[in-house]
Amino acid sequence: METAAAPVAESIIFGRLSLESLPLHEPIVVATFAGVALGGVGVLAVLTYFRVWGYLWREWLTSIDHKRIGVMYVILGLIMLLRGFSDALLMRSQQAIAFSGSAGYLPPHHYDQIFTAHGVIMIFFVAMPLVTGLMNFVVPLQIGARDVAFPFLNNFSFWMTVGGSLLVMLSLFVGEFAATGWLAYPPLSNLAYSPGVGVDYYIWSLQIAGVGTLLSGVNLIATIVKMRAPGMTMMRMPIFTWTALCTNVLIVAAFPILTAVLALLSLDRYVGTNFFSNDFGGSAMMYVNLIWIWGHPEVYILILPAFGVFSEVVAVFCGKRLFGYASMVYATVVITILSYLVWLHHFFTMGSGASVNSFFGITTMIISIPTGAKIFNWLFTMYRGRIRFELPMMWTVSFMITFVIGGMTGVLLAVPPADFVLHNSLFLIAHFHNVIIGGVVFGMFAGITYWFPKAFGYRLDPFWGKISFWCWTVGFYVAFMPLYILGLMGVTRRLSRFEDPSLQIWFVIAALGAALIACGIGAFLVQLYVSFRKREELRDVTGDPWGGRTLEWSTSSPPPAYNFAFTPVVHDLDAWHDMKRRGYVRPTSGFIPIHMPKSTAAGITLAGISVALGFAMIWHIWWLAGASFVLLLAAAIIHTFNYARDFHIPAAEVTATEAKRTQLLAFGA
Amino acid sequence: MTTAAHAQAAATDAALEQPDHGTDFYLREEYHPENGTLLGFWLYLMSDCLIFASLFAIY
Repeated sequence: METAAAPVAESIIFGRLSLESLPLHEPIVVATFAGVALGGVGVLAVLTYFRVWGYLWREWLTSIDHKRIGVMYVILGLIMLLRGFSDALLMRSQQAIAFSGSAGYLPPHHYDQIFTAHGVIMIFFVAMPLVTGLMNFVVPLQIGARDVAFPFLNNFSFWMTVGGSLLVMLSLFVGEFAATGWLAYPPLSNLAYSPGVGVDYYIWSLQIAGVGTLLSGVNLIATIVKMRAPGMTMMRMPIFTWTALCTNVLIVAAFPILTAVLALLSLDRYVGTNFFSNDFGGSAMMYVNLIWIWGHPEVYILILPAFGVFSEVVAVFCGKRLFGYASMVYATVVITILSYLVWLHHFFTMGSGASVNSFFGITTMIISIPTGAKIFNWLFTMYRGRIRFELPMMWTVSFMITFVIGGMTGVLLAVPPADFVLHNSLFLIAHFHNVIIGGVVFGMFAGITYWFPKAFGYRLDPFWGKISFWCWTVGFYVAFMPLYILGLMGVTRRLSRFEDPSLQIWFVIAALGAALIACGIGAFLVQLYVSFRKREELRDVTGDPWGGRTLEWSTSSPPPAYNFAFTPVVHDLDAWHDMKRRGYVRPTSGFIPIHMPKSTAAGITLAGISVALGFAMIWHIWWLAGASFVLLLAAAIIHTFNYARDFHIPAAEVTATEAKRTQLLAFGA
Repeated sequence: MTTAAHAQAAATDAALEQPDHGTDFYLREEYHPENGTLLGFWLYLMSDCLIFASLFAIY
């Protein structure tokens, strides 16, 4: 381990920020900065040239419309995917070449930051925003509501997530990031062994993003519990809404623990307390326990919405009601509860003893049972269905195969004696990538492909979508199956170089797999571009391109700001399918003014000040920290005096919008 | 669901016996969903309690 560096001298104005903080001696970072700066300037220039700043500010950045916020979350997730995946490519290429004395091209301290950033970005700033974005966009539409329960809070939550990701991105160019792994275990993350700004960037970016996520959780629970359309009892809710509800319950119950743990870690670093040190009464194991009490529910926060997506997709693309709706609901609720009883399986090797390990090993195996029930229900839904292998269904089938393999390796790891051999090996890496890529990533692609027509009014191009799908699926197996083999051969995770040349072939194969996945991501970006260019050809005028079963498909594509001119009344599960079956008639007259919330700049302002506060705390710029804190309080209080929070959409405007839709439907018929 | 919403759903279910397709599936008057402020407040407060409970427990 590197010895702790001498403390950096601090100035009153700049804290510990100085010219040495810029990594000018690292050519990879300098080149990256040049690329990002050029790209950023290009984007700003294009936006200015087309004079869209006003439109962007009014219609998107200050919007409290759940649909717009959902789209922005997904855009954030996809942008951060590019950064997180670049880290993956760097690691794969380093590991493929660093053998038999060759040190590769990444020094160890840089490599450590890369795997830390990769984990933090992928979990917090790719998977979470994608999941939250889909839930934000879809849930109010599925329950027949006009928006979420607290629209301003939704906007604020989004910008806090952006703030957290900004700090992570900034760490690449100003200072450094944590080199501790994505969970920053002490004592490595304590001041003695991480005296630089890296862990502070980690703490503040997660705290800021964590506030956003927590408030989003409160928002969506209140939305689902209180704002369902009349007739929509809990057991008539779409299954995606059920998984969203359970996910947000997990968020509200788990994220406070992350907040508390990071607060105490920051007290250890800033004030010199000893919560997580190995002396003066501290306990590093306390940190490990608490971070995983958050961490395990976190992975279920990521996977449950994906399960919800698959449930929706399977029912629609098999032309059948989802098999065993009630058991799917019970399975989701059981998973939600059991996810709090398994956390220790992440550190079986850390001295808890056989009895404790046995308890958590058994609960871990038990939690796989409701997941297995879900798999069977999806399969039984497919049985004797009229299956259409559109892209969302392709992603779903690939998920079923891939996730089951990953799940089985998880049950293998749940056996404590087996885990003693495999803990922190590449087998573990392969397992969690298997379930996260196979489950969460494929779920997000299925969801994006499925709901894209609803959001933008045209389908995604199927040709490039299929290329992306096959590159991802084949690429995943080529990239991660070798890691199972390497793990079983005893290779440890987080190593940047190796001595045994017989291992190299597996790393080279894994690197080729990563390159294939890169092609998949490239194909997805091409798909977005090509779809936009061919949007008239791919246009959906009906609002229901897939033959959907739930209420979001009863609106136009994209839906109007108010979602539903008249609130739907629900009589059965799969409300839209029920309406179609019973010969509903769409109202074309008698519209009334609709009460809607107003856009506000308070969310982006508060989040911006929070980022300034975080930056100031990281760099010990105490005057800026104090000023930002005061400004934050002032901005929040000023916002409470803003009474102009809502407006009415006039009946004439609603009538005109609905008349346009009537025309489109007649055109498409 | 509130009693009022239950009654409304039951009324519309009964109305299916004599279907009037225009009103079966849509509410013609403005719909006021239940106010989520109180629930949101308690959810937030519970999460705050969790934060402080874990802080005290660790201490």
